[in-house]
Amino acid sequence: MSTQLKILVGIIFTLLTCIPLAAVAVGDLGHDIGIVPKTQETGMDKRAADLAGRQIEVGADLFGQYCFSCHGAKGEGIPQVAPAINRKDLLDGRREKQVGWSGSVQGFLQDTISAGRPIQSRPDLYAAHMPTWSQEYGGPLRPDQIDALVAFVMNWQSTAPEVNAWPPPGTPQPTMTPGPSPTPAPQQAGVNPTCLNIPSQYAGVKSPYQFNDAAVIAAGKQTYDDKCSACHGAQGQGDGPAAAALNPKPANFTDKAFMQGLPVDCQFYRISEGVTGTGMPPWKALGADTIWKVLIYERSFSGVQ
Amino acid sequence: MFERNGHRGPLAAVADKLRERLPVGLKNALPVLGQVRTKEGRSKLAQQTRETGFKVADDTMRAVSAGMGIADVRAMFRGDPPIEKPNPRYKVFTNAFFAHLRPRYYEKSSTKFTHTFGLGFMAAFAFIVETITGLILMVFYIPAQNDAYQSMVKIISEVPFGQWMRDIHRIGAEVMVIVVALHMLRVYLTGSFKHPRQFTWVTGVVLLILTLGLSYSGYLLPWDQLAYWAVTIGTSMAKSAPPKEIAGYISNLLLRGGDTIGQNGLLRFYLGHVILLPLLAIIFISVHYYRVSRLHGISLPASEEESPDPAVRKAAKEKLDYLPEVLTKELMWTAIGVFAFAAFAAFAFHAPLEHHSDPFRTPLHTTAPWYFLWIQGMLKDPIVLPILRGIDNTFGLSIVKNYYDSPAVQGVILPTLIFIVLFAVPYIDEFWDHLWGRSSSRLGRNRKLGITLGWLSVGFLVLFSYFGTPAFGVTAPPAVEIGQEFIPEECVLPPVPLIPEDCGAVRKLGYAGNPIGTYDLSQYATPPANATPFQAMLVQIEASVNEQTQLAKQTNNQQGLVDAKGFYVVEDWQAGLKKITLRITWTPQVAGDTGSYEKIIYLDKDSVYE
Repeated sequence: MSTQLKILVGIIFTLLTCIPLAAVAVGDLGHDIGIVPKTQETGMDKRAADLAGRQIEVGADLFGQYCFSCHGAKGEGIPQVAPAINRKDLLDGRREKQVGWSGSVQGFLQDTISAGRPIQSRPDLYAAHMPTWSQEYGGPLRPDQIDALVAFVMNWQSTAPEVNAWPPPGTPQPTMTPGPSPTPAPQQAGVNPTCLNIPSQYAGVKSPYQFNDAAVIAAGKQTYDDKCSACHGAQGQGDGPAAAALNPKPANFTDKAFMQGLPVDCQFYRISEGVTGTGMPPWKALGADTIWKVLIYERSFSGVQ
Repeated sequence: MFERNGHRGPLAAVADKLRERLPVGLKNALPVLGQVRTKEGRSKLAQQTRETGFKVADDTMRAVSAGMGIADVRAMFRGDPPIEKPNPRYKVFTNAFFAHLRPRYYEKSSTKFTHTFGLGFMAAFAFIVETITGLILMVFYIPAQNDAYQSMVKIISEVPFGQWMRDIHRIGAEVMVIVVALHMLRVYLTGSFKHPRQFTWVTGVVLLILTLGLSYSGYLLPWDQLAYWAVTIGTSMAKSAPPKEIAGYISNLLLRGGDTIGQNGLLRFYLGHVILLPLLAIIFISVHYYRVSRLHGISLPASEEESPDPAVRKAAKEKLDYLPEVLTKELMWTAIGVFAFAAFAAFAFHAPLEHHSDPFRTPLHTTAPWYFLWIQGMLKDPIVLPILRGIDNTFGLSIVKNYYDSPAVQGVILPTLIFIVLFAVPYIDEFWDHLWGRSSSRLGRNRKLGITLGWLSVGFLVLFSYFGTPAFGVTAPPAVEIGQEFIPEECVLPPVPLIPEDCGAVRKLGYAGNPIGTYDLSQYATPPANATPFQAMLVQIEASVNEQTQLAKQTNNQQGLVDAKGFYVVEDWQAGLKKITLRITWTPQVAGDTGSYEKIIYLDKDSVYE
């Protein structure tokens, strides 16, 4: 190849490189350089929408794992458990103004989910206690997961119905319809069916604490009241305020037969990983130590060790 | 100026004084003003100006080109012979820093394309591309566990040319690994590692390791599920380095910065990726290239070097000047390479970004990056472990349990030995020749054993890479596998580089392609006429379910899907969000089998999975 031909080929390819460069420039800077009309989406806009959409998908998945058991599958709320969040006044800022929040709606949601509610707004209407969800405050979720949840909840904004969620205090409450009483736990002679295939990392794990250690039981009670009692009930009978919405019903820890069919390692596994097909979420983010304390407290209801 | 009619004005004396004090340069220029008054003077002045101008330009060119005047540069790029004597094209190599790194000339036959395939050049090219794009990406990347993923999202969706830079960086990384590996194969097959180039080979193996390290450390940085688990799998091998309690523990701690990869591990991989490994690479590339360009030159084709015909040997060593032949060739290939990378990244390939990393959620079928699949294949140990187990079972022994630590042997000891052997290749080769009393020869027909072993190693790599893929020896329960096929938790990166990932049929159809409704899959056993892509997908899912039912019947598998039924539900979940549920139910055969499987995903109207 002669020198001049090589130079020519080099120049041609250098000029050809302008084609992909121009294509990327139009896609990324179309609006800025005025090639793409403002009404039209650029490639960059589409990518941003794609990633925002994926974030909403992640949020929906998390909502289906952690939030639906109190707030309802589609955020419609569960009477006497937790308020609707798919409602207009919350998502257009009226509710925030009402409670004196001067920040953005997203910020309100983000803080509420992250830090929970130390004091319930309306204990007269809703029994469940919003726990802290962000790892920052000792909950199970990472910051990006909180962001995804907020994105998912905010996506209701355009369609949220007007719900009168806050009758002024003193208005007669809807009469409590006695929900189906907690289903008696499966009376089974043998072992609980979920315990037949315990993953190897859980099989045979042993408690680091004594089952009658009062300090451990007290520590377990603290976490239990915060995180578990909404569904499993303050007395462990599986009749917590959120239990009405759940099927199958939460486990009843006072049921001796049920507890006997639930070996300690299996219970640890069920708390850590959650129970598929039920409302029980995985709690392993709490850490093994906290789970053991809760487990020991739960076992103290029935006395089965 | 101050004279009129021969009378000197009072200021004339002052003017004289001033003139005396002018700087010499200005004083000499004054007569020129006088020349301008005559026509002759003007043309002389123009001539002088032209000459001085050309001299300045020529001197500038000599300074820039480190020794060549304008005429010589022009002649060089025209392909003409040099004009001045001695040849100024050689002067460049003693005057200029970057030119002094390059040889003055190559031996003609060593530059034949079919001899080297330009692989060393391509590796250097990829390294430079990686350096440039990497420096730009560094501006936008935050190596913190809560920010890293978000900065990737920003690079893709907010930074102009950000996604393109990232794509080129990814392409460059894959190309670099491929090219470096092929370069080594080429050097091995042509016998170029033999005396006197043995140590060059050793530095080359170091560069192979550095290339793998660079690529692998960059793998973690996006901090998505793909990155997190690929690196978790890789570093878990370090855990089993014997003795486990000391070496394994420490190397795991050093690599991950903790028991699992977190903020510390991310920062370690980041600093390794942007400082330590590039620095080492630059040092070793310098040594490697110095030995190639200055010490021994690129090897000649063996058939010409060892030709019995002296004319051939002489022709092979004919000089091919770097300026201009090799330089223009390199510039041409650089232009082609830049175009190829730019166009491929703009039109054909986007680097994957999966969900945010989640230490509590292992995606099904995670693998190491493709170039480490062979180690993952060895970890599965499809050969030694089954044999030992067989012996154990037959004779009632427990060798495996008591004596054989497979992850340590297959995952750490053997790969380390392989690299040690790789380092020693030229010396083993020399020893072998000595042993049989042969003189060293690079010709293929004289080293049949070596070449056979080389190709066998390639075969071994390919075979064990296959063993490393999830296709071999990893089976989840059948219903889960069906879910994985159509709705994988994360998009699946194929075990071959530079091929886009596969996000499964359901995501590919997307929000618009999944019409709302409940679909009983048993009605899709036979494809409906004029099936839409959606119906065609339902037919495929039903076929998979059916296949498992048949399989369960034939093999009498206790875990199988006996009488399996599938349902596919698409619900309108939110504005622009659909919930998709794939439910498979079957008759459980053993206790503990729930008899049902459910896979749920959500699809947003804007998300695009290609």
